[in-house]
Amino acid sequence: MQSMTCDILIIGGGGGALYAAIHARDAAPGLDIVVASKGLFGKSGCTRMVQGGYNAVLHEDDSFDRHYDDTIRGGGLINDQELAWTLVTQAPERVFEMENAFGCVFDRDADGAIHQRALAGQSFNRTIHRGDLTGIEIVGRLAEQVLVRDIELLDEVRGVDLLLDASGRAVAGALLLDLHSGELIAVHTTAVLLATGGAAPLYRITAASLEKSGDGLAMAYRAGAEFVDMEMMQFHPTGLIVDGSLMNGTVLEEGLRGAGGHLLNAGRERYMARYDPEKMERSTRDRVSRSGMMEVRAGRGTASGGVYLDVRHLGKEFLLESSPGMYARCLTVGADMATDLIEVTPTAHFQMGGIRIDADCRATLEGLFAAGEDAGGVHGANRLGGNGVAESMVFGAIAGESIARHATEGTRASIDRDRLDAARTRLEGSGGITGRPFELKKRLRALAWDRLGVLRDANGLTRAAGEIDAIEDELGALAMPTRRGGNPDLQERLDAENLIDVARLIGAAAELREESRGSHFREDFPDSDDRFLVNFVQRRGADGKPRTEPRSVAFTRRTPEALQGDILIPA
Amino acid sequence: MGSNATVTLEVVRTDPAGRNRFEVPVRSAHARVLDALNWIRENEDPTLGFRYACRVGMCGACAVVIDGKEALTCQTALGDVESGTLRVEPLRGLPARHDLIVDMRPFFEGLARAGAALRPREPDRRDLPVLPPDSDERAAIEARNGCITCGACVSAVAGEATSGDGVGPAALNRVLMLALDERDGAGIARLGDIAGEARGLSAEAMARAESVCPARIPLSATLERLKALVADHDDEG
Repeated sequence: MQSMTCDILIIGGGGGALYAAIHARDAAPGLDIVVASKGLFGKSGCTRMVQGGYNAVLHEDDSFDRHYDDTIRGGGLINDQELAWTLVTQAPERVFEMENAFGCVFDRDADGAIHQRALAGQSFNRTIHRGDLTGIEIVGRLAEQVLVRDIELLDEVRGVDLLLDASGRAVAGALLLDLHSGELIAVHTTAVLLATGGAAPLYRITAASLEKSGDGLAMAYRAGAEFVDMEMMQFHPTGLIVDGSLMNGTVLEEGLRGAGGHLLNAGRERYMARYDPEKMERSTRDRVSRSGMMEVRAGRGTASGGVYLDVRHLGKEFLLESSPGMYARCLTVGADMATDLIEVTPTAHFQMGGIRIDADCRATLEGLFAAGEDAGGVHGANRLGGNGVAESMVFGAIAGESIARHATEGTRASIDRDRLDAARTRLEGSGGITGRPFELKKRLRALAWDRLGVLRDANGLTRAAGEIDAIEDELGALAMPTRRGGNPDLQERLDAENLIDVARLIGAAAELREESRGSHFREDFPDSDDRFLVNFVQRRGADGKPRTEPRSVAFTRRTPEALQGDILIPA
Repeated sequence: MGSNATVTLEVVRTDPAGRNRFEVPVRSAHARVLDALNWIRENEDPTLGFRYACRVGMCGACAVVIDGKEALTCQTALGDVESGTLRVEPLRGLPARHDLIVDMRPFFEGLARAGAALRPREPDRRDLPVLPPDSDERAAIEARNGCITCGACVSAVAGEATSGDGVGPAALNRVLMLALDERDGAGIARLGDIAGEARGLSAEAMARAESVCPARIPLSATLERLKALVADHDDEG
């Protein structure tokens, strides 16, 4: 086992992690900063895949209050109101910085002024973008700013566990694993930022980058941090169906519905008329996802278990102009959007819930910070399109400055030897039967899709808990792979263990939320219920299972009464 | 292609004793080379080394050499393969690490050496500059934007002797973008650092790089324009 020492350890490689690294470096030039990313530098995570864009109040006729109300309404009124206010008020600052300091360019109108459009749930055109491939612009420019700074990059090195001090209340480092050499690295550090991304790949069908497996969430869970809103997982209604291919589940952006695209069942019927006759396809992501699932379950879906997106009537010229990336994406699966129906399915997209943080991105353990999808609270029960990448940038910057301050002022705790040995022992394993974890992970993803997914009920959630236990037992019975370097079996094993922790958090909170709100839909409690204007706060109990408690939402800026009404994709 | 179709993959392995020929079922007309590699990993050889992340051609992690040409495994359909046999090799010009996985550090070090990042004139500006999209500079920058840092271009020019220090086509392209960018304060100065590379890379090599670029960046024209700028810079210098 190697040992290394630094002042700041950032685990993650997407937009949040890169943004934090830049801000930490610039805030504290004297500190040693290490970024460990499971994927390749600049290629890890989901910021890269952002299509639609980034919400920021830039127009004089728009206002923070409007963006804020849209965000809280979209979040089913249970957002952390202070975190959401931070998102809204700092989003423009980060746009100025991305353009003027880091070199991004977002699309302009013909006169050279910034172009803004609207995604679902917005009362104003406030989404900036670069075509439908916005993420490449953002991550490309952030990555090069990291490259020209003095920041140590550990590529293809994953986090395994946080390492605590003897008190068990302060993070003193982390155990990392080099995917290629198989070497374990014990990092002694003053502060750790988790920015690894969420656990959408827990689900059989997902839009997220498949290397993500809720690593940050699981590491924080095992270390004893608190979580919030873990039952809230967003499903995007139009994931591409590509049977027998890893392409399955990748997203077609919702601008296509906003522009007038139709959704049809196998009988070519615009089925949204049954679920939301007024708003039809422009209804909210959660409702459109649910409707599609219900059509399929009623036997009106396609042979592959999906529905059709029909944008033929929008015309080739418009489609090529407005969605060139999506057009090309469909062509690679043999469908021409201008002449063919596109087979789509809901797909697990974004995790709203996560590690509970304060205004400085501090988790409930000393020395631990979280940002981006690893953190919860900003989006409440549902995230608006365009608020996700804004969250990563805004809170990446805050986290970078916070960890720099903490590492400058704080003292480094000592890693408790027993805890380090225990983390190591888990990876070294002792005996067990020979077998491969691939199949177990597949089973876990299938059960999450069926029971913790778009449609939930008490019976399914209870069964899920038992099935997760069974998969954990079977996984535990497998011998830990002895070859650690270049062994995908070991990665699958660790991924599955992390996803099991996340699945339990989701299941436990979903079981207690006996109502429907935002992305969480209970078939046995299909209406929302004011008694559940709460957040479920969770932490690990002594038996390894989550302890879950409701906590009232602090309505510091808006009361529920002030925000009645619905939101949809603007035309 | 029917559901019983198979394709043969010949994979260049790091371990010469490792199995390198696999018969893979083609489960869908749209299945990718990436799907075939993943099938091998799940069914035949769990140790097969290859990378991927986004699955949709946006991250560039899965670039390899397929039948002699650089390509992304997630964007290459098995159905497009005519012979029924595919040869898959790691990118050239970058150190092989494990089977199809190469060490990408030299690629990123090239970008860093070229200073391929904005050195802002007005980093603290708190509004957005007016940038008419049809100005000559903006149009030229826009045409060259969208690099996914996959390394295909570096592989395509591997073995090409230049008097430069091997920063590679992607870095040259970014340097040109910055040289044209009115927001950048080091555009011209940066040219001096890459002049050797710009002069040394042949038009043929750059055309090869352009032909494999998944972002379709006009790299040949980039080289021409960069050479002209470097020549102007030398005259002034």
